[in-house]
Amino acid sequence: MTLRDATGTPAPGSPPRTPDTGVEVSLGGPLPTATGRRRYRPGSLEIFGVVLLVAILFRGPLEGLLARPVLQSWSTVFVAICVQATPFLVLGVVVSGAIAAFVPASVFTRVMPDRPALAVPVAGVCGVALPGCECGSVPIANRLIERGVRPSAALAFLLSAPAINPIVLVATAVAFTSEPMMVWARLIAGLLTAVIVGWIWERIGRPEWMKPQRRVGGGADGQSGWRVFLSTMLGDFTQAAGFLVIGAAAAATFKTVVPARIMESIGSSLFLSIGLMAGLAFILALCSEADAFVAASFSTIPVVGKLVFLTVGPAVDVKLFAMQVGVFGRKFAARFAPLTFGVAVTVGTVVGLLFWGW
Amino acid sequence: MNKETQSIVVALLGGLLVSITLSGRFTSYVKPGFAPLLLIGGGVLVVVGVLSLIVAIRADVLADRRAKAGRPPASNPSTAPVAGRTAAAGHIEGVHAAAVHNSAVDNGAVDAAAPVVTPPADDPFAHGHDHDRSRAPWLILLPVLVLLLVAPPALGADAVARNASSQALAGVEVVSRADSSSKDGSGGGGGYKFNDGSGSAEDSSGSRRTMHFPPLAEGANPPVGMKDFILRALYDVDNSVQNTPVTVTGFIAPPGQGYPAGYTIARMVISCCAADANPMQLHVDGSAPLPANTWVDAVISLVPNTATMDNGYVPTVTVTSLAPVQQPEDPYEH
Repeated sequence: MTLRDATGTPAPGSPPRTPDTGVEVSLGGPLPTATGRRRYRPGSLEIFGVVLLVAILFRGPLEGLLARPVLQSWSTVFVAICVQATPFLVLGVVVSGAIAAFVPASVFTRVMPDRPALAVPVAGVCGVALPGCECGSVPIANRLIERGVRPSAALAFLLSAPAINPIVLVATAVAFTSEPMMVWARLIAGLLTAVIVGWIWERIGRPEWMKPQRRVGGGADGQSGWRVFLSTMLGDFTQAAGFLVIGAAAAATFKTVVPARIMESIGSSLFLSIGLMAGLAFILALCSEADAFVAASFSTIPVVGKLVFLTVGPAVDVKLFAMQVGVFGRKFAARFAPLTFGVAVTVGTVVGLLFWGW
Repeated sequence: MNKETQSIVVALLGGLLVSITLSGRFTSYVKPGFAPLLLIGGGVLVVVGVLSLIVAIRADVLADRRAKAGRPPASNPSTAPVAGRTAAAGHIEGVHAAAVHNSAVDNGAVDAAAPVVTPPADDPFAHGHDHDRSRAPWLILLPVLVLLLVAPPALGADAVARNASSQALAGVEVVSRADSSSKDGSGGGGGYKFNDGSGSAEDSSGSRRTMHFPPLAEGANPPVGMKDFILRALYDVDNSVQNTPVTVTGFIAPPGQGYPAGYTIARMVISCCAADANPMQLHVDGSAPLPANTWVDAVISLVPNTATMDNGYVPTVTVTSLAPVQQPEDPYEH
């Protein structure tokens, strides 16, 4: 939240201040003025206090509102998604913070191949090493770009890590006991999606689509490594978690509003089911470690449709989209998400048909 | 949101995760296996939040002291603490940078709205990007407040109706996993392929598909999981739950689709969190003896051949006894 005028009221959507008055004050910022007198300005800490106070005072009505069955289901699902995703996001920002603080950029330029045609698949395969789900890989990919890794390669990592890491593959094997090929199909489809999107991005991607990087130093600028570690974690977490909340709210809304019976009416047609599963994967925003169980339970859907669900889900969903808006910027997400969606659906369908036939 | 507030919010969220885990409330949202993850994740957040708060306050105090010492205003002392990181990385924390960042974050305000402060396109890193001014962190308060003040309960009767789909079924594979000795049907070696896309409990010739289940527990009215009961009702070649009364634990819900009257004993099944919840339902004729969402231990036996395509394979049961109980520690089955 930004305080940009003297009254202290946040002004959403107001044009940026002109430089001469745009002094930003943070903590209740009493500004020493020319006369030495201090003017009171409520900072975010005060606003935070007021929000808490209001929430506590209006707890009764708030509870009454959320006691309605629909809203109760909604808030349970909403909280569930937030609670479930947070540990993985923490893992992601710890890795991101460690990269920022302790791994000099030169490491990446040395390890990654120079040729983008090669760097993209290498980064994609590296995704195997991150045992998390999709929320954690967003801040890591952001940090990799900041460390000088090609965006296309970092994005390939972003897409592949949640789809092909060992935990996800084991979960898939457990969920699809009756369809052991699903693990391989998922591995191949996830990796292919990541690499193809990376290559395409190498051709069409433009740096100005991305939100400018926050610069954090790696010790060379005099800040201690631990300081950088800490501030990177805090910054990355609050930013990504804020947008995760938006995604969770959207997914909870879909989950509450869209009746599950939709599935049964469509099962028979292959292409309808592929479209349906791709759409569901986007709006349900399941954790990639859980989506295999859900896919397996769609009993009426052909197996190709399930593979599409498992390919699209970790690559792009409403929660990831919100987080990408927050971390990389709106211009980026508006281009990257549809591209990923299209590639993931195509790759999932083709790989599925290769594995299981028409 | 400035760094101090961010730190507090992060520590609050972390503390809340730890507290719902320790109090057991977290099982309303995620499966019990998440406990260690939540404890570690929450613990890390608390530590990060507290340490960041200390660092931020110390920087603030230092800056305050410097300001009192009468440094020239050009160094902009009051912004120095929060901008320290950016400045340290070689940026002068200019108002220009702040304005550009804000325009990117504001709803509706695009960069083009501020042509004066847009940096040259050939220098993408010209303007600092400081998360301290982002508005996104405020959103973290939403789940925090919902958890803190309202504490939504586990999914109940409302979600049953909302999420119901064919029970024939959701996870036949899971059963064959629990009972990998099952050699019946087309599976062989543990894999059992009911998921042929028809969503029906009958095979193409219309006869019932069957498989073997492990014997029920010893004693009178042995406890059976709701999901286990339904799978046995649909597929058990020995008809175990039809001949022996068993005890299931669930909650009361309105009658499901295809049943005009009566009531439902239901339980949600989740594989990860409440977002993937799937209801398991048993139908009972007669009027509900208890209000919806009451948890009960019910001694029941299956009425054969009541689960059909039309009612979403919700079998009818006869209830011998029905006793209200506390909500189980884990309200969901898995």
